[in-house]
Amino acid sequence: MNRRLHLAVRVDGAGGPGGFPALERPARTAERGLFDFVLVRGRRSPVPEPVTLLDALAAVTAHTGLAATVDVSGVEPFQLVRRLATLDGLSGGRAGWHPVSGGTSYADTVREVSETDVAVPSTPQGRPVLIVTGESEEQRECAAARADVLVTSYGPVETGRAVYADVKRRLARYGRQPGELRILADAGPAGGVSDGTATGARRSAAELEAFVREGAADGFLLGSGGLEEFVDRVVPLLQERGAFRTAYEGATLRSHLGLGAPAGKG
Amino acid sequence: MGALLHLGAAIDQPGVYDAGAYAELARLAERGGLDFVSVDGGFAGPGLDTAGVLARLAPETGRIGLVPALTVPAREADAVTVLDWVSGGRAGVLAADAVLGGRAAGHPVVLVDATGRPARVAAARYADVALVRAVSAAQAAELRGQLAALAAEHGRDPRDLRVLASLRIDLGDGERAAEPGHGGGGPRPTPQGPLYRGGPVDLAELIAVWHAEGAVDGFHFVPVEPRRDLERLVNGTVAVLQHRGLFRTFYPGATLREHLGLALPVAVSYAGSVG
Repeated sequence: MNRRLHLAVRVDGAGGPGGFPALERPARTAERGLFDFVLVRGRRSPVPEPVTLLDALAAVTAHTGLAATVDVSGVEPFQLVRRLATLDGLSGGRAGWHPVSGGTSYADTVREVSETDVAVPSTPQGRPVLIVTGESEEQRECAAARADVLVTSYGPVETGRAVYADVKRRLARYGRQPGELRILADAGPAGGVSDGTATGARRSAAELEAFVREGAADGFLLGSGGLEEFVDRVVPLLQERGAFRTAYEGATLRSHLGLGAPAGKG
Repeated sequence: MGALLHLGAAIDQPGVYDAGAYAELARLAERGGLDFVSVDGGFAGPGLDTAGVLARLAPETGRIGLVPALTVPAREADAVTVLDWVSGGRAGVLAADAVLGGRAAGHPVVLVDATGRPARVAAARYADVALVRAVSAAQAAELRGQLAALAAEHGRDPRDLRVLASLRIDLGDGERAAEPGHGGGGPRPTPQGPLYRGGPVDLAELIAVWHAEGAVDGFHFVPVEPRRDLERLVNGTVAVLQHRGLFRTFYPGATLREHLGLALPVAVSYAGSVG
C-alpha cells in the first residue's frame, strides 16, 4: 500500500509589508521541498481576492499546487468558478480552493461552485481541488460527498485513526473510493514540528511518518513559520525513509495528491 | 515641450489558454515601452478572467501597465486591488461605465470606453483615460474637445484626462494600404470600431500627425492578428516613433499612473501603503 505522505503549507501575510516577495518566498521554498500545495489565506487579510493572487504565484512557481482560502459568503459562484478555471488553465492544472464562510450559505455555495461549468474549455484538472476543514458531523459528510482534501486536527494517533477511518468509510455512500479523498492533519508551524535541531528533525520525521503509517492521516498541513528549516532538515529525512517523493512526478495538483480525474469529468 | 505620446495595446488571443503566449506579447509590448497592455476578454465570448490573466503576467513584466476590461468593475474591485499589489502599482481597469469604474478602483487607473454619449459624460467626470473612436484627426479632436468641455463643466482640469483613440489595426498588408478605393492610410469605420489597415511605417505617420495636431494624447490598439500585428507595431511603428523622438525609449516611472503622467489620486496609494 502506498504510504507516501503529502505535505502542504499555509501561507499568511498576503498584503503585508514585504509586498509580493513575502509571499513568493515561501511558495518557492515549498516548491523546493516538493510540497503538494501552498494554501494562501486571504480572509481578513489586506489582500482580498486570493485567487487573483495565486495567478501571480503561478508565474513564479512551476510545480507546486496553488490553493487559496476563499470566503464564499456573498461571492458570486460564476465569477469564482471563472477565476478558478483561469487559475487552473494558466497554471497548468495546479488550482485548489478552500471555501470558508461566516454565513449559512456555505454548503450550497460550495455545491453550486463545484457543479457550475464555465466557458473556459478543458481546464487541465477538470475541476480545481476542493479543500475542506473540520471534524464535525456536517464537515465529515461534506468532505465525503465532494472534497478532495480534508484538513483535520493533529492530536493523538488513536483520535486521528478514528476520524480517518470514519471519513473514509463515508466515501462509499457517495460512490467514492477511499483514495479519492486525502486527509491532512493540521500540524502547526513547520518550525515547531522540526524544532530547529538535528535531533528534533529526526524525531519529527519519524513521528510524521508513523502518524501516516498508522492510518491517522495521509499527510500534513503545516504553518509557514520555520518552513525553510523543515524543507532543509525534515524533508530529506522523510525521503530517506521512502515516505516522501524525491521529485514531482506529475504536473497537476490532482496528480501530486494521487487523485484521479474528478467525478463527472473525463 | 510637446505633450507626451501614450500607447497601449490589447493582447487578447481568443481561444488561447496558455500563459506563455500572453506573457510573450506582454514582454514584447514592454520592450516597446508601451504604457499598458489590456486584456479585453469579452470579444471571444465569456472566457478567461481578465484580471487573473494580467496577475499571471505581473511577475513576468517589470514596468508595463496591466489593464483588465471588467464588465462590472465594482464587483471585481478586490481583484483589481490584488493586481495593483502584485504588480507594484501597475494596474488599471477598463470599464464601460466610469462611475462603476471609479468606485471600483481607488488607486488603479480608470479607463473608460467613451464611445456613447452617457459614457462620455461619465468619463469626463471620473475617468483618468477616455477611449474614443474616430476615423480622422478632426473627428478625434472634436471628441476630445467635447470631453474637455464636459470635464471643465464638472470642475475638472481637462489636462487631468488623457484621451486615447481606440483603433483596430491590421498591419498585414505591407507598407501601403493595398485595397483599391481605400483612400490612403486612414482608418475606416467597421462595426467593431475604426480599423486601420496598412503598414507599420504609415501607422507611425498617422500617430505622429494626430498627436501633433493635438487630436489625441495617444492610442489604444486592438490588433486583428495579435501575434503578427503586435510584433509589427513594436518593431516597426514604435521603433519609428522612437527614432523620431516622439515616444519614450525607457520607462522613467514605475507605475501606470506615472507612465500616463497622471497625478496620484487623493486616496492613499494601496501599493505605496503596503509595499
